[in-house]
Amino acid sequence: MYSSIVSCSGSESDVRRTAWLRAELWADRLSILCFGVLALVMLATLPDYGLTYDEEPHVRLGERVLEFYTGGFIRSGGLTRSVYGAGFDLGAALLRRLSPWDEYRTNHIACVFVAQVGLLGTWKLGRWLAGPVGGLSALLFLVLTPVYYGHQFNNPKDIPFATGYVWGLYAIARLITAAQAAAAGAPVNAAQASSDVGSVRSAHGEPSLARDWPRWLGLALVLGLAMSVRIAGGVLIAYLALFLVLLGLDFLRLGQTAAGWRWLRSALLPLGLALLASWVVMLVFWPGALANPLQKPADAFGTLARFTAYDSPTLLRGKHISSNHVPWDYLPTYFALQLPELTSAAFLASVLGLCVRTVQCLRRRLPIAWCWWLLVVAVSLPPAYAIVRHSTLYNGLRHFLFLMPPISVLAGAGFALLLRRLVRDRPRWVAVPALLFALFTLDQVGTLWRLHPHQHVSFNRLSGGAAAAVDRYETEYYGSVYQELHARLIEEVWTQHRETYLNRTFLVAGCGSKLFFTRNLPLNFQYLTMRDAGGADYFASYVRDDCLLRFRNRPLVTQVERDGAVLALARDMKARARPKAAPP
Amino acid sequence: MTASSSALPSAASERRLTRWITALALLPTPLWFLLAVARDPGPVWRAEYYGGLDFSGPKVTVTERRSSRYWDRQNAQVPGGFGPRRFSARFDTCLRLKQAREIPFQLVASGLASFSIDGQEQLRLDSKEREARGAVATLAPGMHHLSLDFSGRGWPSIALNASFDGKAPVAIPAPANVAGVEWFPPRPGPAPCGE
Repeated sequence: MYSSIVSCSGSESDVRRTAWLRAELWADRLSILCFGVLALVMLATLPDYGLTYDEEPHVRLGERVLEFYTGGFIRSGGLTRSVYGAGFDLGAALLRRLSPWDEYRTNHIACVFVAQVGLLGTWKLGRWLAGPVGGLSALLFLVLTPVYYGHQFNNPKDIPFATGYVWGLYAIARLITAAQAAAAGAPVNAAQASSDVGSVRSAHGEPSLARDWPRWLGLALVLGLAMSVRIAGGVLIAYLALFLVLLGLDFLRLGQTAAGWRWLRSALLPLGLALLASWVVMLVFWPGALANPLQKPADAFGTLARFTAYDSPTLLRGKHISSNHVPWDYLPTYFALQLPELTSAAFLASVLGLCVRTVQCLRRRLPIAWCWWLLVVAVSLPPAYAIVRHSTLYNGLRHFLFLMPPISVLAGAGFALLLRRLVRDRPRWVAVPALLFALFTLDQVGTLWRLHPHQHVSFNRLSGGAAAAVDRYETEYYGSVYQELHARLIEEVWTQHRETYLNRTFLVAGCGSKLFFTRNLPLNFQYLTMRDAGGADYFASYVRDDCLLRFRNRPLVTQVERDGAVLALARDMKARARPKAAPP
Repeated sequence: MTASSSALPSAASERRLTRWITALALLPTPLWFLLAVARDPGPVWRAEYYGGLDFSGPKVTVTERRSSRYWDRQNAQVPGGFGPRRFSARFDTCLRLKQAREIPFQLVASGLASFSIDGQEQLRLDSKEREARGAVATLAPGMHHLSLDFSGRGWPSIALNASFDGKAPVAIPAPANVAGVEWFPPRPGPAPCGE
C-alpha cells in the first residue's frame, strides 16, 4: 500500500537506507518509552479526573446487564429500551465486584485500560501503514490531542467506541493488504514488509487465509465489541463491503482478476463466519437485542441517527443554538478549532498527497493505496452522514472522538512518508520536520500539563485557546470539573469558618446533574436545585449553559481556571451582595 | 527498493517487539488494579441494619468502606431489603493511633444519631432535617472503638467525618493514608477492638 506510494521512483543509496532503518529502530525504541511513560502518567493522575454526567447511566446499564445474566435472564424495561449495548459497561460492572474503589473510580480505571487498548491500536495501524516511524507519529499525534487525551479517563462510551473503531479499521486494513498482496502475487515476506514501509504484503510465510483463524477471530471480536458499545460500529462492516467491491474493480483494472477472485473465494466463508460471530459478540453484550437480533439493532441505529429526544442548547461562535438544528459546519468547526494545528496540517497534507498519488497510480496502472483510502472514508463518512441527515449534535465533537485515531494515523503515516522521502531525496532537510515535530511535542505536553485534568476543554492557538473559546464554544460540558471545584470550596469554607463548619450543614446549588454534588461533596453539604438557588449558602457551577453568568453580584469564593479560561466557580450566596457601581 | 537482508529485522524479532510493546501498553493497568485489590485491607466498618426503628426486628450485618450513606428516590436500597424510612443501623470500626492526636470529628445525619468513642458518647443529633455537630476529641495512642447508632427520619442520611491531616473533615477512613493512623474492622464479641 504505502510502498506503492513511495516505491515507484528510483533507488536509495545503502547509506540513506541504513539511516532510515536506524530511524525506524529508534522509532520503535521511542514507542516503547512512550507506552511506558503513558502508562505511568495515566495511572498516577487517574484520581484527578472527576466523574462525568455520562457515567451514571452506563454504570446502571452495566449493573442491569449483569443482573440479566446472573438473575435468570429476565430483561428489565430499561434493558429492553436501551439503544446501546454494554460492551464496556458489563466489563466495568464485573470489575466493580473486585474493586476496592467506588463505582466511578473503578469506571475510570476501566476507561483508562480501554483507552490504552485504543492507543495500541492506533500505533499498530500507523505502523502497518507506514512502519515504525508511522506508528510512533500516529501514537504521538493522538496522545498529544488534548481533547482526546482528557476524555480517556472518564468517558465510558466515546472512548471505548473509538478503541473499537480503530481496531476494526486495523483488521480491515490487514484484509485489504492481504487481498492486494495475493492478487499481485508479491513475494514479500513479513520482515521485509514491515521494514519496507507499507510494502504490499503477501501471504508468504503466513498461514493460508482460510486457516488463519486468529485473524478472523480478531476481526469478529473487534467488530462485535465496537457494535456492542455503539451500533454505529456496524459502519465498519459497510466499509469492509465497500472496499471489497473497490478492490474487485481495481483487480479488473490491473488485470489481476483471476488471482483476486481466488483470494475472494478463499476469504468468503471465513469472512462470512467472522461477521456472523461479530453479531453474536454484539448480542452477548446487548441483552435488549437478543429477542430481536436484527430489528432491534436496526431500530437503535435509526433512533440514534435521527436522535431528537434530547434538545439542549449548544454553543457555536458565541451563539446558543438548538442541538436539533445545528448548522452544517458545527462539526467541521469544532474539529478545526480543537485539533492541534500540526495534526490538522499533517492530516490534510496526507490526504492531498494520497489524492496525487492515486492519480499517478491510475495513470501508471499501479495498485491504489486502498488502506489509506479506508482511513479517509472512515474519517469523512460519519460526519458527512451526520451533516446530510441533520443529526442532533451537542457537546462539540465529543460524539465524534472516534475519528481522532484514524485522523492521527493518517497524519502520522503522512509525516513518516515525508521523512522517508526527505531521507532519500533531501537528507539535509530532514532536520526541519523532525525539529518541528519535537517542538510540537514539547508544546502539546505543556498544554496537557497546564490544562490537567481538564484537557478536554482545549482549543488550539488559531482559535485563541481556551480563554477565547470558553464563552463561544462548548468547553467544560462534562461535569468533571466539579471534583476540583468542590474540593476547593470545601477547603475554603473549612479554612475560613472552621467552627461553624463543624456544626452546621451548607446548602449548595449549581447547574448540572445532582450527582456532581452528592458524589463530590461530603454530606454536610446539601444539594439544592437551581430553582431554589436563592436559599443556598453557596452557588457552585460549571461554565455550561452560561451558568457562570448567574449571581455575579455575589462574592467569589473560589474558581477553577485553566489557560485564562474560568471553567467553574463558587459564590457565597449569603454574603452581602456587592453594591452596584454608581453611574458616572 | 532493496536492502541488505542483515539490516532487516526478522519476522521473529518483529513479533517479539510487538509483543513487548503490547505488554508494556496493556499490562500496567491490570497489574496496578490487581495490586490495589491485593493490598486492599477491605471494608473497615461493620454495619448492623435492623428492620425496626429502635434496633429491633430482623437484623443483617454487612461491611462498609466509608462512613457516609444517604438514601433517596434513586438510591433507596437498604441492606437487608428494609424500607429506607423504617430501619435503624449500628456502625462500628477500630482506629489505632501511633501517637496522641487532636481530631476534629463531625457527625452529619437526618434522624437520631449518636457517635461514641470507646463507649463514651461524643456527639448526638436528633432532627428530621440533615444537621451536623462537631467536636475536637483528644485521643491517646493505641486502639479506639468508634461507633455510630442511627435511626433515620425522612430520607435518611448519616456520615461521620474526621480530619487527620488538617484539611476539611471527610468520611472515614479518608482515601489518602495518614501516617500513624490505621483502621481495622471490628471483631465479633465483647471486645471488638481487642481492648
